[in-house]
Amino acid sequence: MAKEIIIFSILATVVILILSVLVFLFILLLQKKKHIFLQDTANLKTSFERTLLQAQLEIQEETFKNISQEIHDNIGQTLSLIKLTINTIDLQDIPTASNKLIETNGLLTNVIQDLRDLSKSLNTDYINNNGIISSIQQQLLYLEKTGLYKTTLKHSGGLFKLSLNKELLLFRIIQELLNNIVKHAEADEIEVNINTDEVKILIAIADNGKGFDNDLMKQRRAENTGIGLKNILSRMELIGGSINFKHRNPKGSLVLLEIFENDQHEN
Amino acid sequence: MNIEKIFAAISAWIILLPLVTGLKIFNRFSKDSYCILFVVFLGTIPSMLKALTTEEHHLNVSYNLYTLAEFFLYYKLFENKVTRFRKGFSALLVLYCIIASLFIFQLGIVNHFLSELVCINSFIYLGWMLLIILEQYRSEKVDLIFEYENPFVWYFSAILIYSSCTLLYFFLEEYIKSRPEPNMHNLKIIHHVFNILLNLFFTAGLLKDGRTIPFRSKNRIGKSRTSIPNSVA
Repeated sequence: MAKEIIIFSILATVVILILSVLVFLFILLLQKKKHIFLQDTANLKTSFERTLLQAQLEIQEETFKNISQEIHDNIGQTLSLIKLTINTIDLQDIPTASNKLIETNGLLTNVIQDLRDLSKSLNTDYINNNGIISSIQQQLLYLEKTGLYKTTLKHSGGLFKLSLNKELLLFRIIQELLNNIVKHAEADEIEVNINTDEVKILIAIADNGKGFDNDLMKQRRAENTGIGLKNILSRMELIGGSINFKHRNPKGSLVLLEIFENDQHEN
Repeated sequence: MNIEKIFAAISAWIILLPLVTGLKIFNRFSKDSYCILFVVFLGTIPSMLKALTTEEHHLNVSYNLYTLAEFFLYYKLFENKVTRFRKGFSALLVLYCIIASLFIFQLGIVNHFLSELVCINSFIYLGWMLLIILEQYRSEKVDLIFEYENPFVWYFSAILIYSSCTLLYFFLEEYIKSRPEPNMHNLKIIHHVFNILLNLFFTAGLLKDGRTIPFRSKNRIGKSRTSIPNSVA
């Protein structure tokens, strides 16, 4: 009996010892893995924030450029015209002066409206408060007012909310794409289709312009030139989305953007 | 001199190793290491008494008082490592106070070495350690509790191994003492081996703490560092 108790005690102690050591090793291993995982996550987050900051700086730079261009090409020109018109008013010739004043008043109204539109398109609060769809609509209205484009916006699906940063970046991408249509596409119709569901947002931007030169685009990608395109691609990657450029029949181009509500960068 | 006596002597005197180590470099210690040093210091009294005297009553009193003191020092050691399971941690303390009071009032501390109380101590320590492990498992932060550089790892592993492996011995101690077979008394070696191991781990932890001053500034646990209970029997 005594011998059996001794053997049992020794065996039980050995088993407990092994279990204790295993538990302890498990904890150490777990801790190490957790440490590595959290370190990686922190690095990823830092890298994401750095890229985001870079993108925001690029956007800011572009915005300044756009403001400058808008002031120079549109508002500045109109104000110069107003000044010229006012300078040519002959107060002795009342009917002509009256016409010129009416004309000046119209021009001033246009300038004020242009300034308002510019302000709206630059104001990030507007995007935050009204959402991406309303902001896109605003952009299309702005293009429509020029009289050079016929625009259409279609939205289907339910509510979809992106994080603030993502929404802003997406909006700037769309702005850049619309700018590209204005600058290069030679189109007169722009159509934006937005489809949302619980997990993703799908945006299709189509125009009836001259379309893409696929070879040129590939060459620019390969040579890492074409800053605008590069920015669009890197920003889409940043917000965890994808972008596809396609030809549209019979003519024009189609850009498809797909963004998911959550991605690992945000976790 | 049989093998059990050799182990008993080593087990009794080994406590001087962490004590001397700790006293030599104690001014560089963290809170955890001070706790362990205090445990070692208190544990030295019954250990030395055992090595130098055979007076049963003195030994019983010193061991029983040490068992109680050790419990509260380990409580101090572990308490700042648990935040999520604070209620469970405190519940174990209350439970222990009730059981210990019952034991002391029922059996006293003079005539009898309360090996049952040591068993309960070990159970509670294991419970606390389980809560710490669970907390670490569920935590999303990177705490440095189980980092190799943290002396608490040494204290924690020492207490874990000692408490779990001597639990059975203390459970059977009264029975072992009552048996006439000399071989049965050799089971005490189990305790001696783990007591030696415990003190060696304590020494390692104290040395680690004394040498790793920069670690403190990086330690997200802040002032908390740890060590283990020095059980005496």
